[in-house]
Parts: sequence; structure tokens; C-alpha cells
Amino acid sequence: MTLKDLPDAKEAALQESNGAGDSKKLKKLKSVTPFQRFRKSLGGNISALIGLALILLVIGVSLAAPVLAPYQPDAQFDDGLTAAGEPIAPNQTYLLGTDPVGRDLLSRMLYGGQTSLLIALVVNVIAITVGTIFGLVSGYFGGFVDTVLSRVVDTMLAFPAILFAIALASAIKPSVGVAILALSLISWTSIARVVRGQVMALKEREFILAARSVGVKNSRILIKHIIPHLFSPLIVLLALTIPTTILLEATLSYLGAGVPPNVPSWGNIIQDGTRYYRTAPWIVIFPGLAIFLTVFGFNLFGEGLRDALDPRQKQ
Amino acid sequence: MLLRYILRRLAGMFFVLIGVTIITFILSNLVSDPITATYGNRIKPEQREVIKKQLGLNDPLPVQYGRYVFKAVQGDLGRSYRTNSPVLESILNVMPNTIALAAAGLLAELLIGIPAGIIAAVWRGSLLDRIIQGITLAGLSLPTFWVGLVLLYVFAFLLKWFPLGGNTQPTSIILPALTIGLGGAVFYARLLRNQMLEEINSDYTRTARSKGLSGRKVITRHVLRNALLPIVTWAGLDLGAFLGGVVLVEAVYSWNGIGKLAIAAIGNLDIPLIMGTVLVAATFIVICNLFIDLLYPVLDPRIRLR
Amino acid sequence: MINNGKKFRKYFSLAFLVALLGGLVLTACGDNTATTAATTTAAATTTAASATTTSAATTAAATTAATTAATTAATTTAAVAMTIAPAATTAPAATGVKPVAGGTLNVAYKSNFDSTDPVVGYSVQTWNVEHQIYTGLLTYDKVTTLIPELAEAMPTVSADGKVFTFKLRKGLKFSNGSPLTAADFKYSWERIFDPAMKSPFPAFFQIIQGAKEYGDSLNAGDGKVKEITGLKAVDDVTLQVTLTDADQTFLNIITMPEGAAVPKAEVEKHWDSDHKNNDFYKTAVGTGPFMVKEWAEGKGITLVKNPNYLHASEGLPYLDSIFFQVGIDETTAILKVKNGDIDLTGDNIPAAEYPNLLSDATFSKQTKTEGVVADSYVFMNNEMKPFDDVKVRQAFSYIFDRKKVLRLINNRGVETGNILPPQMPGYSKELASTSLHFDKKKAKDLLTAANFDFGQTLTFVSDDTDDSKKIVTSLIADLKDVGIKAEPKVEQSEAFFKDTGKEKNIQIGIINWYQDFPDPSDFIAPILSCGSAIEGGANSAWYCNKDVDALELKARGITDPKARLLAYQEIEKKIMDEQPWVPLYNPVATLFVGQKVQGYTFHPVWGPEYSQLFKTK
Repeated sequence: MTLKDLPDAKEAALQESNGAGDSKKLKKLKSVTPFQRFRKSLGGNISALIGLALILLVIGVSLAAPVLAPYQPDAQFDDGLTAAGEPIAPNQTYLLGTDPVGRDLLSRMLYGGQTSLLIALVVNVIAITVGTIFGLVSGYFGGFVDTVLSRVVDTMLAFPAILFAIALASAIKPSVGVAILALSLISWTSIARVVRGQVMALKEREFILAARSVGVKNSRILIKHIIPHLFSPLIVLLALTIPTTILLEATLSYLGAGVPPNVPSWGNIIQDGTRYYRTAPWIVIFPGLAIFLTVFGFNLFGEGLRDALDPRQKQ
Repeated sequence: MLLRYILRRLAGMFFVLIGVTIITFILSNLVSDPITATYGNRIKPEQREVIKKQLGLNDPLPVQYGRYVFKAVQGDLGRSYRTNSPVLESILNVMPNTIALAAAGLLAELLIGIPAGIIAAVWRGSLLDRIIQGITLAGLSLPTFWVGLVLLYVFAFLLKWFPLGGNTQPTSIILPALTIGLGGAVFYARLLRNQMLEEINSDYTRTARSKGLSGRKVITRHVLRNALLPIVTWAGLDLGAFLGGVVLVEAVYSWNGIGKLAIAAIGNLDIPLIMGTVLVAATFIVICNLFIDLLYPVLDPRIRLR
Repeated sequence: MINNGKKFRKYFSLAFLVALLGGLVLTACGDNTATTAATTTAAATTTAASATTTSAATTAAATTAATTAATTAATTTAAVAMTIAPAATTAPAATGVKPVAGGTLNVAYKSNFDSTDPVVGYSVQTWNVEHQIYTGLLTYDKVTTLIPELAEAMPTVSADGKVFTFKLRKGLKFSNGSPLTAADFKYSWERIFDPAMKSPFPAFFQIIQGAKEYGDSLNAGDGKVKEITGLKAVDDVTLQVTLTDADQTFLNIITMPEGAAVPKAEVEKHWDSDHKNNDFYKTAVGTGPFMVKEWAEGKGITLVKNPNYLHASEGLPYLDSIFFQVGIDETTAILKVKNGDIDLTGDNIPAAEYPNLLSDATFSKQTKTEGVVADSYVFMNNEMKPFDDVKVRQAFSYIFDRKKVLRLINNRGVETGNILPPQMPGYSKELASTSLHFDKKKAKDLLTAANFDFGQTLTFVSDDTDDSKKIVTSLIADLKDVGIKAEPKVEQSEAFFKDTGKEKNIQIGIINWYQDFPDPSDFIAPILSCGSAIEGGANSAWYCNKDVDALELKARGITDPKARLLAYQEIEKKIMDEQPWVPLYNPVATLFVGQKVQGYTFHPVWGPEYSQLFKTK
């Protein structure tokens, strides 16, 4: 895993790459209201709609897990294992097969979806909150404050991310809360950087300079003028960082440093089945597929969202 | 001018490394009994005390940390609690493997990603472009370890083209490098495509073309050169991160590198080894960052070092 | 054009998805070949292992020179019966193949080695290798009977049982050619107490008179005590040891690797500048069948034949060298054995591979299942509610379905209700017949009679290995069947051991105990005595019965082996009446051996007997 696999980092990069040279395109802003353009753009964008459909499907299925799942996710069945103790391939009783302990894979995957999605949501809410505050303060006030805060961000970024998460999981007893903590700590820095960049650019815009020269208080400027302009890039970022967090959680659970073993999550299930990937590949394949579909859906939708919301994206 | 910048950056690096080591130290000592980690419940409490005293674990944490830093700057990273061999030696033993994998992975990423990005940009809107876009988006949606497992299963186990993990044969490096490469290539391809399109649509390109420069000359001399800038940045950051050990790929393929060493150390609560590997990894990341920042003005004269 | 592009992208993505899905579903559904064959072979293994004595007794009894009681004869034969390989005789060529000298054996391990300095190394993996490099005064025969090795005969013991006199053989040499004398043994045992060595073994040797004082003085650094007074090198070939109490386990302790001989001159060369660390283990010089050629961190250990080995005249060892490789994942190791890169797996066969190997005609012959002298058990904290009530503990002994647990771990174990494993001298078949029971209804009745509070939720703790997690899930399901609520708690090993060593931290959990040496006291004193029910001790059940402690102390000194083992059987019975544990199973080690390997035998203490192995071309 590299720096750019950090949630938001690569999206930030892609965003920045799209946003470079923005000064020329400011003129295009005020023609149609953003919302109208958004609807038009998104509606015509079929892949974005497919992405949305996938997302809603996954969320809906996960929420409906208690109804849809044929069994309890932690129920072990005597006939869930062969007499020699091996997992059973997909069959009529266990539609997606069983895992190495004799539990129904389908049920675990449905509940696992709940865990993975919930974690992704919570982590990103935390990361965006913390990252935005950091980026705001750092970008707006500049100077010494900026230097110190940037050092903090640099220190976090210098940390080999996965090692940090594993070390955290070893130091503190693993739980869903600890997993959320670890993931949030890894994720917020890139958001901070993006926000900082945006704020620094916004700071120099005419209407902000005007407001400051007139003497409007900083807090008012921040709240009324700067933060609203952060909404659309942040929403786009969110749509694209949620999938990265899902991938990251799966990776950490795979390494044994994420969600604790008795709570199902897609990464966990794959971890349970890694040793069996040659004799019982369904344990690795189906959760992997679930991750893929979810993340792919978010990516498609997020791309569409960015196309729709970002006035500068007109390739 | 340049010297001042470098000195300032070095100072910043130093603080960052201190920050990293402090955090690691605190984390490692949160569960404060590495003796139990090594011997489990088989050692009598009196003997545990003797060993603790020998290892200096009874001193207050700041003292232990200070001792660590003092020795570290002299090149002594301590000895593993488990095997008693010097940490620096253990790390140096596996360094060549990590360097090989890092280089191979980076190479794979760039060799696959850059051409893909160029093709997608130059022939934008074409079938090839759309295929590449689709594949890259799908590729970004796959977990790396999953890709690794699938590659291992198909190419090493089913087809037997490559050895099954480990790093003993010359061909063992291909699958791990490919796993890293595929994951990274999708990112580079998209990034390059976006950058190049940005450049292609910009004023100076149009000017150049209107002046009569051929398409290919415009692309190679101007567009590519500018578009490559963020690629270089990210490649540098990647190299830094890889040199710290590509933990995930090393885990899937049992590749004997720093990442694997670090995970084992964390599992054994082998504090000196944990500190050592994290320090080495962070140092690589920080050095590569500095290197990239120094390289920037060479690549893009518009940028000046602040 | 942009819209077309997006449309195409959508269709392409869909097509890609369908292709991926289709392909994967196909591979997924292809693979689980019927394992009915596996089940019968696996079942056969366990029945062969548990239905120990009847046939094996006659054949094996003839070969083992057991001087102990009939019960122990049964146990020693049981040990032999655990192996699938034919009953071991002294001639390694049990299959009739003539030993071939030469060749390199490749063994694969996943984890790195600890220091292989005999006074430091303390894991099964490290001991297996140490045994090839170092030997001591005594050793074990094919099973667990002590026989002389570097000593020319068993020691003479004084009337009060406290003074042991050993006579060394003449002309003994270390692998580097330097002569071995009694003084080397004195040095080798004294260095256990050197705090700089950070050895975990001093407690074992404190039975020697003057040892504790020596250790305390070294720890304090006051230089007051210069040597262990109870340890005397009377002359070059005579070693006299005086104990503080008559304790028969002493002979077992010095047979462990930490009692082996190391050459003083060589060891002293390897101190670092501030005398805090010693690198002797890297160029280890000893008296074993092999010596160290290379100790490469992260790669492995290479051993070569020791020309000065005591049994070199018999042509041993056959192999020229052994390469113990590290960093090889267990699954990969199996595949490497199949293609000949590796000759023997050091780690257990992973659960995922085991049934497949057993179901294959060729590979099942290469799969070795060996009894490991260990217990896997549920411990109940006698100091915490609800387990401070013996009636509750006794009820719990009826709840757990051992067969289900074994199935989860591919039958790599044998059910048990005893403390002592079957290969341990003193194992009681009589106790086994009464202690092994499973009856959920009876459990519920007993619990109701004991006024058990069914409203409480228990916390069931284990470490984080795959097997433990599986087993706990199964046990909690059993509890649920009886109406008891329980939550699993998985802890990383270090944290787990710390918590078991605290008086009121863990109510109930599962844990393993592996033997240190094949003497029943090793399963009582360290884990079921009042002396071990202390902070940081290994008595996870916090069981303490002063009467039992007194009996055990007495039993240690009994010189008549028969009487001694009977005494331990009494003790075991007394303890089990109070049911501090619910023993589940005795683990079994599973190794995969390459086709070229011949003469393979497995010793309950030492593991594979590498000195007897040879390879065909």
C-alpha cells in the first residue's frame, strides 16, 4: 500500500490535476444555477446512475440483512463443515457456501456489508470534520499556525500507514471502535491538505479580499463565504473516499488489524478464508466481489458527481 | 539560497522523525510487557524481573526513549528482544529484498501506467481510451490483496508459471511486482490522462500548434514534459513508501522484506525491532519527499523554492 | 462524443463485471472435491491413536526398555502407537532401506529462530534445532526413559536422594576439537544465572544448593558469591551435584537443552564490548550430531555434520548437512515438499491442506501425525464467580462437545478428560474412563441444583490463533445450548498471558500447556499448585489446594519410579475431583515429509530425530 492509496490522497491528486489552471475558468461560473446544471449533468450520465444504483443496492441489501439473511452470521452448523472439518461449497442449504468454522457465508456477507459500510461512513465523517477544521485553520490563517499544523500533517504522513494501524491494533485491544480510530487517523490528513489548498486559493479571491478590507470578522468570513464553497468539493471527495475507506478497512482486516474476528466484515471474511484460497476459493471470491461492486459503484457515481458539480471539468 | 532551503527542510525532517519515533515508542509501550510476549506464561515472575532490569525496562519511559535516540544517532538501533541480534543488522539483511521489490513495483507501475495514460489522452474518445478508462476504474475498485491472491492462484498455482511466493528464485519477484504495478498503474494512467488533457487544452499548446509545430513534437516536447510533473511527484512518494516495506504484498507473497519483519516484530511486541523498522520506513519517506521537492524546480522553472 | 464515450464505458463496465462474475463463479463452484475419503482416513488416525494399547502393547513392549510400572508401559507404547510410521526400533532402517550417508536436508519454518543459545532458547522450534547441536549428561531413549549420553552411566545417588554423582565418558570432545570436562558442565549451568544472558531457566536450577545465592549475588552485582557451591567438578570426569531437596525431576531438567555442555573458552570469546550481550549462539560449538555452519538472520540456520559426535563411529548422523529455512509460509511449505524443494515441514500442516493430503493415496503416506505431550483445556478461575463453586465447575465438565471441537481443527488431536497426556509417564487410563463425559442435560440439572445464575453473561477469553478462535465459537455455542450466555474475547497472546497471570481478570478461557520435560510434576507444579497461583504465574485457573501441594512435594522425592508414578496418579485424581479445568484434547503435530526422506522418527520431546534421517537420491 502506498501513500496514494491513502483515502482521499489520490482523489485529491486527481482533483487537483483537474483543477489546475482554474483562474482562467472562473468566468464560466454564473451562467446556470449549480443545482440545475447538476441535475442535467447527472441525469444524462448513465454510468453515474448505474453507480448510484449499485450503491443503493448494496446499502439496501445490507440494511435489510436481518430480513434477507437466511441464518445468523455467527451460527455454526454441524453440516456446515465436511466430516474432515472443511468448508462446504455453495449448495442449496448454504447459497454461497460456508466459512472455515461452518458459518453460512451469505449471511456473514450481508451482515458484513453493514459493518463495512457503517465503518466507512463513520470514519469519513470524522475524517472530514477533523480534516476540514485543520485545513481551514491552516489555510486561512497561514503563517506560523500553518507551519506548525503542516508539520503535524507531515508527521502523520511520514508514518507508514499500515504499520501504524497494525501497531495500534496490537497496542489497544481490537474492536470496531479501535478500527474506526485507526482508519480515521490515517484518513484525515489528505482531507486537511485538500481543504488547505482550497482555502488558500479562495482566500485570494476578490470578494474575500474585499470583505476583509471592509473589516468583516474572520469567523464570519469563514462561515459565510469560505465554508459554503467547500461543500461541493467535499461532497465529491466524500463520494470518492468512502470506497477507499472500504478498501482500506478490508485491507486492515485482512492483515488482522481491523475489525475483531467475531464481527463480520468483508475484509474479515476474506482473512478467515485466506488459508483456504485454493481449496475453498468461494470464501475469498464472494466478499472480494462484494467489495468490488460497492467500490466500483461509488467510483462511478463519484465521477459523475464530480463531472456534474465541478464547473471546471469540461473535457 | 538553496543551502538555506535544504537546511530548513532537514531541520523539519528531523522533527518529523522525532515525532514518528515518539508516537511509535508510546504505542509500543502501551502494553508494557515484552517479556511476556517472548516467553508467554512459562517464565517465573522473579526471572521476569531480572530480565526486565537487564533490558532497562524499569526506567521511566522518557529515559528509555532518550537512551534510544542517543544510541540511534550513533547507528545502534538496539537488539531484538526475541533473538538478541542487532536490529540494524536484521533490517540490513532484508533491505535488498525490499529495495528490489520497491524498484520492480515502481517500474511496473510506470511501465504500465504511463503508456496507458498517454494513449488514453492522445486518442481520447476512442475505443482504446474508453477501454482504458473502464479498466482503470474497475482496477481502482479492487482490493490489492485480493488481486495478489488471485494472481497467485492463477499464475503460480494453476499455471505454475511462477514460484508460489517467497523470494528465493529470480522469477519470484514478478508476481509481487505486478500486483503492486497493476494497483498503481491505474492511478498513474488516470492522472497522466487528466494532466495531459489539461495541457492539451491550454493556451500554449494551441499557440504552438498554430505556429505550425507537428502534433507529435507538441506532445513530446511540451505537453508530456509538463504533464509528467505530478507523475514524478507521486512516483517519488511511492518510492519512499515502498522502501519502507510494501506490507500488504509482502504478506500475500511471503516476501522477506522490511514489511514482513515489521509485522512479525509488532506481533512479538519486539519493541527495538518495531522502532527500528518504523524509523527506517519513515526516514525513506521523508528523504524521498525532500528529494522530490528539490527536483521540482528542475522540472518546472515556474516553481521556486519558498 | 462525450456521451457516446460514457455510454460505451457503461456497457464495457457491465460486460467486464459479467465476465468477472461468471469466471469467478465457475472457479468457485468447481473446487470442493468430495472428501469422504479424507473423513475415513482422518477418523482412522484418531481411532488408531486413542485405541492405543491392545495391539501395540505386545509389539512395542518388547522394544522399549521400560523399567516402570505396567501403566507406564502402556503409556510408552501409546506414544509409539501415535505415529503412523511403524513402531520404532533402534535400527533406523525400519522400512528395510539401508541408510545412505550424505546429502542435505531442507526444513521449512515460518517464523524466525530465537537465539539458539541453550540457556536462552525456549520455543519448540528452537529446541528442535538446539538438540542437534548440543547434548548433555543424559538423554532420552526412543520415548521418555532417561539413558546416559555424555555420562558413561546413570548417576549414583546418595541415600538421602540429594547428591548425584556423574562420571563422564573418556575422551569427549566438542565439535571444535577441544576436550570436554566436568568443569564445562559447571560453567554451562552457572551461566544460566548470569543476568546478562537473560535466561528464562534459573528457576529450574535453583534446586541445586547454592544456586539461588549465586543468582541473587549476580543480580545484585555485589560479587559476594563466586560460584554455585552445590556444583563440584571433582576431577575432569566427575561431576557432583548436591540438591537442596531430594527431587527426581532434576534428572529431567538437566536433560533439557539448557543443561547441555558448552565450551567456556569459546563462549567467552563472544561477549560484546560492555559484556551485555553474547553472540556465541551464532557459531555454536557443542557436542551434538551437527554443528553450526551458518546462522543467517532472516534466512535460516545451516548445520553440518559434527566429526566429534559421540556416535560418529556408528556412522551417525547420516546427513552431511541440514538447512533450516525460515520465512516460508506453512501453505507454501507443503507445496515445496511436493515439488522436492523442501524435505520436511517444521510447522504443522495448515488446517486447509490437511484433509486434502490425507485423501490422496501418495501424500497420505507422507503425512505424519505425532503425539505432542500437551494439553488444550478450558480453565475456570477458581477465584471468580461463578467458578468458585466446585459444583458449577463439575457441571461445566459435561457441557463441551469435544468431538465437534476436534472436527473444527481437522481432528488434529485426541479427546481427553485428564490432566496428564497419554505419553506422559503416570497417565491414568482409569481416570480417563471417568473424566471424559459429555451430557448437556446432566449439566443443566447440575447447574440448576447448584443455583447457577443463568442470567449472567460469561466472558470467554482466548488468544488470537485461528484454532483458538474456532474453538471458542464452538464452546460458546455449546453453552448456549445449555442456556448459558457467553461472549467471546480474543486477545493478542502477550495480553492474554498477562491477563491469565492476574488473579481476577479472566473468568473462563482456553489455553494450552506444553511439556517442559516428560515428568508428571511438569503438569502439576507450574500450573496447578499454590506456588504458581501468583501474579504472573501460569496457573490460569488460580487453583490452590495446600494438601495437594504437600503431596506433590513428597512425590518429587520418591526414588522408586513405580511408587512415584502411583503417587502422581493419586494427585491427579484429587485435583480432578475439584475440576479446576475441563480438559479438551491433546494436540497432535502434523508434519509433511518428502518422498526422499527415510528413517524418519519423531520423539515426543525432541521432535524429528534428524541424526537418524537419511535421504535417498
